[in-house]
Amino acid sequence: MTRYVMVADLRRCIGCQTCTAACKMANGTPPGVQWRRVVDMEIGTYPDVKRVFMPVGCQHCSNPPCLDVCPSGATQQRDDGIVNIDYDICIGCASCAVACPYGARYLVHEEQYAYGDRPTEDEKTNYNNKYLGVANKCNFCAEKIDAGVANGLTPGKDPEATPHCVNSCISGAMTFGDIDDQESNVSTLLRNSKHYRLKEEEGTNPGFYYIWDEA
Amino acid sequence: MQWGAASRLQRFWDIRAALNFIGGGTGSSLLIWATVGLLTGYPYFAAALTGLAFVAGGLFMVWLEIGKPWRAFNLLFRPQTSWMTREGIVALFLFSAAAIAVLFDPILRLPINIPSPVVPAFVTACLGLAFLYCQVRILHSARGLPAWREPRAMSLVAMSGLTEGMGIYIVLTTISGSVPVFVAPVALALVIGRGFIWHAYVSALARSAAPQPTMSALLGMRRNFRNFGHVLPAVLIALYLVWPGPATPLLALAGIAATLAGWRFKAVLVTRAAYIPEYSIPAAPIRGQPGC
Amino acid sequence: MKQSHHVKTVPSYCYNCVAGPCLMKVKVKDGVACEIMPNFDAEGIHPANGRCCVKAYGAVQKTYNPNRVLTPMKRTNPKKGRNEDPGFVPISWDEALDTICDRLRAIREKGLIDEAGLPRVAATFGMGGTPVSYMGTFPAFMAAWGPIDFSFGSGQGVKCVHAEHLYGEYWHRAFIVSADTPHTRYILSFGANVEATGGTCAVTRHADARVRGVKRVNIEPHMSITAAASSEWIPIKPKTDNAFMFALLHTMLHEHKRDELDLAFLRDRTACPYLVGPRGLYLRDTETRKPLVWNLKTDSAVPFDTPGAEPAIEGRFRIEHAVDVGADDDVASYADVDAETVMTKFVDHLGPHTPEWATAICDVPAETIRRIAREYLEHACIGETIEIDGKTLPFRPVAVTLGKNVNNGWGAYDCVWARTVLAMLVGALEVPGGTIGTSTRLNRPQSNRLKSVTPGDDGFMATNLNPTDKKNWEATPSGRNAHKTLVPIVGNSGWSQALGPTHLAWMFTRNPPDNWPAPTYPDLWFIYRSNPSISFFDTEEMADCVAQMPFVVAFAYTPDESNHMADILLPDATDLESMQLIRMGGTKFVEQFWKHQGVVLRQPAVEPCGEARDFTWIATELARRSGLLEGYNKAINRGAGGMALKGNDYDFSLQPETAYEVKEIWDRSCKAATAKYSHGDDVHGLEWFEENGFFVVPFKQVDWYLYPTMVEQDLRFELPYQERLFRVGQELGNRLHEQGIHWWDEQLKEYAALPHWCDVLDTWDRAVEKMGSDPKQFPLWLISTKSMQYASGNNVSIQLMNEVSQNVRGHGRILINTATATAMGLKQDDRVELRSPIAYTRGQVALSEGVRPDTLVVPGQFGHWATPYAKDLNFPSLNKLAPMSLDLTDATGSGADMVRVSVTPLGDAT
Repeated sequence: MTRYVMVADLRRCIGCQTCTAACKMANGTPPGVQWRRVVDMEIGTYPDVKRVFMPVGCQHCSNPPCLDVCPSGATQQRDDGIVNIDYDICIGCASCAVACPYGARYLVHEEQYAYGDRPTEDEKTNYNNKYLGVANKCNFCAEKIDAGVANGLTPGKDPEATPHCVNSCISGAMTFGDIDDQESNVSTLLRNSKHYRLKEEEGTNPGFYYIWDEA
Repeated sequence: MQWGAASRLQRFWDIRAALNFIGGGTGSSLLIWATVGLLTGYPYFAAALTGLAFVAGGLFMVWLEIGKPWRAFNLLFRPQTSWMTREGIVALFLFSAAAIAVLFDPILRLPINIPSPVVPAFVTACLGLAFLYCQVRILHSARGLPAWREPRAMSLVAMSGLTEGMGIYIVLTTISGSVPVFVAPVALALVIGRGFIWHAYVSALARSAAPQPTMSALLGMRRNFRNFGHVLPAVLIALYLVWPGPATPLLALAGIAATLAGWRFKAVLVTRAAYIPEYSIPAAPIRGQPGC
Repeated sequence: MKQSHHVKTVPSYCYNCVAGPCLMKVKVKDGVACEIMPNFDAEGIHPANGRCCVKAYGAVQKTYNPNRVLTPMKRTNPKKGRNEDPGFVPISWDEALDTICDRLRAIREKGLIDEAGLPRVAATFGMGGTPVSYMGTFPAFMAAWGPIDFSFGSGQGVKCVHAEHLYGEYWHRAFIVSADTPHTRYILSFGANVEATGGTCAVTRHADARVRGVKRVNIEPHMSITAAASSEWIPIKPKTDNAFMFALLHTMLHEHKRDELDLAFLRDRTACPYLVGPRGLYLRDTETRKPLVWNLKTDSAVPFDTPGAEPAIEGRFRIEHAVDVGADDDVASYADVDAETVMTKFVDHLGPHTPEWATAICDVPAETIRRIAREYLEHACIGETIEIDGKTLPFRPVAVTLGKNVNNGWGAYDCVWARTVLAMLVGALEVPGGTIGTSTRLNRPQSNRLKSVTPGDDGFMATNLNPTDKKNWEATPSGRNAHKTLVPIVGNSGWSQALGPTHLAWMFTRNPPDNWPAPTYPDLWFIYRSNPSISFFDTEEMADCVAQMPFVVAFAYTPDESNHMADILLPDATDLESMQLIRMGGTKFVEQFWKHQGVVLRQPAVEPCGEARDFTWIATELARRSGLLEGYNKAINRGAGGMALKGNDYDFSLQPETAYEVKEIWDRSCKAATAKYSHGDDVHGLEWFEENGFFVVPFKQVDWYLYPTMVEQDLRFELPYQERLFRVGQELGNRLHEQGIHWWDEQLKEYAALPHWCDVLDTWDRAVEKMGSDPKQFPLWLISTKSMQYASGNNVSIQLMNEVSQNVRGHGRILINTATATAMGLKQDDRVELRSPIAYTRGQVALSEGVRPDTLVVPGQFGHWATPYAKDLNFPSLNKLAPMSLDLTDATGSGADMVRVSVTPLGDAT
């Protein structure tokens, strides 16, 4: 079996938002839509304060609440764990968006461009109209992974088969791979670290791990 | 706009979604009270038609809200798991049954040999109840929003629907000059019941550490909801129970107040109280050696 | 039917900030740039493995920004000012270039230097030299022209890590100082925001370091990104770092044993054993005038370089005969004179500066200061060694880094001295794991700092100080910021003028001080990638200063607050549209020390938009039309475009009389570069570079460190005692007083052999009083901080940067301590007015626990009123509130980004 997961090492992340920008660029998402972004959290009271940077986005849960609520079947779960959306079926009801405990989904009804109401040249090429009116979110760059795997490449190891956010990460915080492979990069990382997942009590079984210390 | 880690107001469902819950709740329960009225010998047609109009209006609002309205038919594809699909299927049957019930109503004097409209009306009422149930289940399945996924939200929205439908039924029957006997006691029970469930809902949210802006939005409307949605209607209905004739206008007023308060509550619940919680983590990362 | 697209991926570089270059690739679809991505071909070569930061991802929007100036323009409204519409109208390139060159030719006829002895042409380039990596062969045009005044600044130098630049280079060829992050174990960071501004190489290395267990302690008034990612945050009061550091030194010298220090290093590699006499000057041998040391073997004073001598590090001695040399060759002779070693004086000097003394000033508990000192010494690994490239070097894995506001303005001298001396005490200066330098800019060659080391006087490196003796001191300034006149330590390299007190150029041109020759305005001013009306002090006044420039040629990206005053706008082809070859690797700015060195090409991924033209084409046209083509081509041949085109074994020189196409120039540059680096074995032209992007050869890691060079040449670091600077300061004072100039007297006090602790906060209070205000009216300190998204990226008009920055706490806001805000009745996002003695700014507050209660922070430099997109953000600005003031200028000519403010909630008022 294969299950692709994301691992974010919070010791490394500095909240630079490079992954946020790289994802937007690669996917042509409209202004305001950030499938990958990094939240900036403050914990404690002065002077005992901690500030944590945490990449978030779709957790590609193995028990995703968004799957059950979708009335059209547009939200689908692949065998490799990736939760995908068929933009041609989705009716844009946003049931999935309100069902997601991680706030990972977006829905934009109107065309919006970076600078006013007219697209720039790159937006004419890159802007993805297929996201208008439908729910959209991170899909672990599924097309890129599939094309890479078809060419014999390993997602998480070979950049051509790895999500854009992981490739762009300048601190080495993001790692992607197959957790069902015990010797994969992610499995090795998780074995050697203390980690948690968000909202595990919701029973979603998310595919996004956060490292906070060595094992 | 500041995002970061703070709690965020959901902006996916706006007033149009609220109107669906308003129309669906009021309309489906109006169909129920119309049927109860029919069973006790009161006219059915106007109330039933009004109920259908509310349900249809709500669904139309949702149709305007979704991103791809001309694909609306796709929403019927997942009855296995989706309460929205189920709501859609129930709506289809509901309109079919209601159409039959309305068509069989003697008021239309159709030149056909028709059996009693009671059966289709009863079926319609059951489907109305099912529709109401589907709506509250849709709300509850919004796992991302503590204000909606709280189990007591289901009871509260259902109860409010029943109350709002009753409120409209009161207005229609007082206009017609003939208020069924069951109306006032049932209305009083609904209003008191909704008041208690509202209190239980807010308390449950507070205990579950719902986002602070959620609590602010709900507590901000608490006083008006209590006074105009529960206390005032209860007092007016009680007066009617004591002096049925002269206090009939007061009964109508009670119906209006209870209904409008319920609608306002739904609008706030959908558009102002539903916050995605801020992020929280069990442990902060250890960066290098631990500090002192 | 599926549409087929022509897609290509083009390698390039980003060098928008001083931590570059970073490598990247540009995806181009049907001739439109649509994506930026890392260049993984550089895996294992580039320290960040070919990745670029968030700013680079804005390059696509930068290219297609609808607000770009895309055609040359000329001004039609002769009046200049913030409230004057320039009336720019489009003109042809011919008209634009001829207008400029007519003016240049007229200047040449009048004479390049005006009656005041100042260049008639001036030029200002922004952020830390990065425009050089985008201006093609324009430096060759400037070299061909002759004297150009680079005095008018926009914040570089003055507001930069200024004291660190000048003193760092002076003491250890460290124009930029860095921790040796790959090897270190303990970093004391005084406000160094390396995670925001250190670039991809720093971020990668520091992340690796954290996981490795390195402890980094960030000492600063607010929890910056770097403090957040550190092991510990110590919230120090703003601008009191000097007290903390003096107390650290005191603790190490007075409360710890001597064997916890690197005594061998102090004895052999520093001035610690040198003997100091009654005038605070070295006691010198009467014959040779070499500084004396006390030889423990012979129990006598001998010249420092006496073979076989064992100098005493500490002690007081009586010297039979000696001389000292004061200012202006004032020699004093002594017999039986009392002397003490530098080390003894140094220890005594720190005597009063106990942790208890420091606590009252900097608000850090004394036990914390003592603990930090102990941790630093414990991690220093005195005596340990490491093998690098076959050489055995000392291994001292402790480093001290400083950030802006600590290493500029008053008190900066104290801090840069203390930091370097902290490294010195444990022998952690310029060795693996320790505090190292990465670049030189005031000494030559700039491409190799080790080669810039030559023996100088007194056993130290040769220096490049501007003369202060009567004969050679530049009494009449040759530039409007008078860097050679006022700042000896800034030297005389091509960069020196821009590193001088560049705010004085603006101030003195409007209001010359007493007994100072009135500077003239330049006849023509070039400005590129620079916006002083936003980025300098007192921005309202600054814009007015810019408006006084008679004729301004602005290479313009979009309209902005400075080119609002231009006469001609020229649209240069921007990052993805133009071509240039630059060096990379070796050791250079910030944490760019590699195991490789070479060159990297930036090539047009797309055709330039509108009428934008490649800067190299513009430079060639300017040269040709102003009759300088021959000088221009010769300058390119010499290396003004980056690489010399002729070497011992190769010659790709340009013919002087020919105007070459852009591609031809860079093709020859590529060939020259590869010929040089490969010694002729592996020569490649432009076509190869367009495919492969970069070319590198190995760079020895051992060359990251200056220590081996110092040992090879038997040189000492000129530390801790600044005898030379003390003398230079006295001479400078003599020169200035001879001219009746006393307005630099406060600055002269900084020329102390051992720094006297500067009470910066009191200095500020007195400056406020001199401005006619009561300091008590401005109870809070306002400072600034950087974010990676905007750190010198020309990014304010890029929508993507603003969007992603919304995730970062405090972006576009005023960060305020939660309790302080609550006490004022403020909630998140409420609007307030910040007022300083000179101006006010308005914005929304962001409440934070990670800020001192007495401090506010405004990230970035905003407050735009002309730049499209940015002007609609309505973000607050510190620069508007900070005065441009001689009282707040230190001896190196710099000032800090901090100002006293009051806060007034605005409620619903805008």
